[in-house]
Amino acid sequence: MKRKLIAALMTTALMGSVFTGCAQGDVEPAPETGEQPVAEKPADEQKEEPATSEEKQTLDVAVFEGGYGRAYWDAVAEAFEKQNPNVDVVINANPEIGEIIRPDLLSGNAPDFIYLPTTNKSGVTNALIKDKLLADISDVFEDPAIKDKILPGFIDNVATSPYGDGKVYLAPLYYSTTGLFYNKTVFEQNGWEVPVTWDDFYALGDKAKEKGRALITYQGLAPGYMEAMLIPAMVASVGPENFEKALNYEDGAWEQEGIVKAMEQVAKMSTNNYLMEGTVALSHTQAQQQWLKGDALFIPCGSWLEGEMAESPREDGFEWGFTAPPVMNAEDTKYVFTTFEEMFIPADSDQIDLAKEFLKFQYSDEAVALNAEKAKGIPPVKGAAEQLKQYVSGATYETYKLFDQGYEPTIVRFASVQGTELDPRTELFNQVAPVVSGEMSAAEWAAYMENISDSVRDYVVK
Amino acid sequence: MTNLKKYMPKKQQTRRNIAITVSLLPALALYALFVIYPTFNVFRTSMYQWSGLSKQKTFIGFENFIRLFNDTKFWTALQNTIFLLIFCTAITMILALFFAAALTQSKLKEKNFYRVLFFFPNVLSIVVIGVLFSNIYEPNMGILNSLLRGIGLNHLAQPWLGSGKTVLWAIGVAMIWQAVGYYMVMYMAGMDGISPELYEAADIDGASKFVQFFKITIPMIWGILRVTLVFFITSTLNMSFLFVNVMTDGAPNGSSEVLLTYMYRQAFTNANFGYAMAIAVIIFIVAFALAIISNILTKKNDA
Repeated sequence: MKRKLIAALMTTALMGSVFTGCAQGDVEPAPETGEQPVAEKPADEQKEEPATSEEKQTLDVAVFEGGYGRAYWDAVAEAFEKQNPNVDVVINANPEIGEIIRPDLLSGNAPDFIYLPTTNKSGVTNALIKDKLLADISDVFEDPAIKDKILPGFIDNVATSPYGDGKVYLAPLYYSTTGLFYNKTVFEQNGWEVPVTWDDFYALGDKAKEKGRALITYQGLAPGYMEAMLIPAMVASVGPENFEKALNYEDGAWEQEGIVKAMEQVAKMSTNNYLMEGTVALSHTQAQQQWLKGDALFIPCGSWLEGEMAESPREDGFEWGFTAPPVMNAEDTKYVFTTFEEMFIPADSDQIDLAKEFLKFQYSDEAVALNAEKAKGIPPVKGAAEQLKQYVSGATYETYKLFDQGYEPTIVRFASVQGTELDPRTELFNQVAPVVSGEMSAAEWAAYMENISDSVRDYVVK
Repeated sequence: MTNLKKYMPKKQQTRRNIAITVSLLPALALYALFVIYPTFNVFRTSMYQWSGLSKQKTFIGFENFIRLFNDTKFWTALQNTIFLLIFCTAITMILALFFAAALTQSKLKEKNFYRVLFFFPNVLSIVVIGVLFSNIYEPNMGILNSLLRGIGLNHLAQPWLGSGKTVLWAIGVAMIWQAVGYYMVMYMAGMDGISPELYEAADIDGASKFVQFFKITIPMIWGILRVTLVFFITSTLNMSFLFVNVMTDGAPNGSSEVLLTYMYRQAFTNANFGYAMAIAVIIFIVAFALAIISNILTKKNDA
């Protein structure tokens, strides 16, 4: 027994000295290390030395690796490091980045800069907005160098300042405009005009039927794509201010006459076989594929469509065409539903100032050029479309140039709600299938949304 | 063992008990850490209003459950889940039993080939199967509608995944196709263990194959049938999530939403974690209750 006790004591003593040794090593102040004789130190401590001895700052950047890839981020990190030699930019790019950073956010060990669109399935960005865990980045956009560069309408909107207090929390990165795509060749061959009003639109549908083509199809199982038609129709019909009321769940806002009228125009698809048969059961790629083959004249989508379908078979002589969704009267203001993917700085970041510099850098000419080249995408910066011209086709370039042709961007988001099981945007678009199948009328659709409005009104994040 | 214990000196007995306890501890600790603690956490979180990301958690008692019981989407999801549980279990079991019996009893030369063929869907990833069936059900160019139109049954061609009336059946069929082979192999293993003399004796007594199946085969593999019932419940719950996610994501208008997809949507897409955990509690209760019920219902026949 005694022997054992002695042995135990000895091991404890030994372990103790090892631990104290470690502790001393850790506590040692970094700047002093240079003066001490190197030979006295254990080998592994030497390795860590350079990182601590210089005042090198590390910027943790988490980016979503989606359709635009990661090549841009590696390039922009390098460019930023060149300008700021004592900054180390660490890029963490992954298609599942939301799930990857979730535990870090929970433990308060947040990345310093995040690019993750609110539409991402992980829902991380939306959760951060709802919990008010984003850093206020208003000063970045008050900087005249940035302020004058951004395209009008892209900063003062619900998407960038989600709480309606005029403060900016989310910054726009890749933007895309949406509208209706069509095959130019078919229109030229038949002498058809691209429709401007809803009446023209449905009149064209009757002509198309004679040629064995449906007027329109959409991404049936992903009805959110209908935003390209429905939102501009509603905004044009009631005006942006009144539509804002609907997005903020004001009592009666969804049953405004203009909104019901716009919904009626969309509901008209259910009649006369205007909508391609089987549309409601198609996934987005299936619908886009059948449209490319010429089964329907139009499909609602955004700037990314051409790139997405680059490898798919198509009708002979196919030529990309793009137009804005129809309006009630030819002289109405024409709106184009515009989206952008967000980047932001978490409030928990310990490098907020540095992250803001990195954010500003995203709008620099150098970064925009890199983005156009590596990702074939651009932020809403004046003149950026010209940078992109050499990398994309004519129709995609057109989608970025719409604002020069008298179209107004409409950037809308439903006001964030928290603590309710209802997601108003999902509710709006989930009704598209019953509406275009004729099971639900436009008035019922509006009444349904009014009902949703009533249920979520008390849960708005302020 | 018990006899041996009697002759052991007391000291040795306590030592033995200590040894057992010490050996069990690591496994128990792991089980507590990875099973009991998370389960307990699910119950606890269901009482909170929490986004799943921040440190702000608000205790709201049973509020989540009260909302849940007034949520029509939850009831649709529950209904859909129970429909799939019953539909898939019943059809898969019947088909698996039929194929297993046919393959073990018959003297088909290509028996082993069929065995592999039926089991094949099991080695495919669920995503692959989901995409495969999405294309089969595709309304305009899919093989199913093309076949129906080809034989002149135009009126039967449907947008299978786009209509609330057909979407669950369509997903159910894909799930059955995936599961039959697996259960067939299990039943075959059971049937191979039945002594051939029983069948010979029955043959001599003049019992038909049909009677033999119900009087010999089924009672002899009853134990396996009971086990598979629990498998059916857990796997249908899990598989329905994967299939719905790949094939429809709840479309059209929530007609194909099941409990697990609704839970996922609330937890992550809608940042309503506490509410999602309330759904998880209901799933736990449903699965548990069904397992117990099926066990009780099948118990008295167990020898």
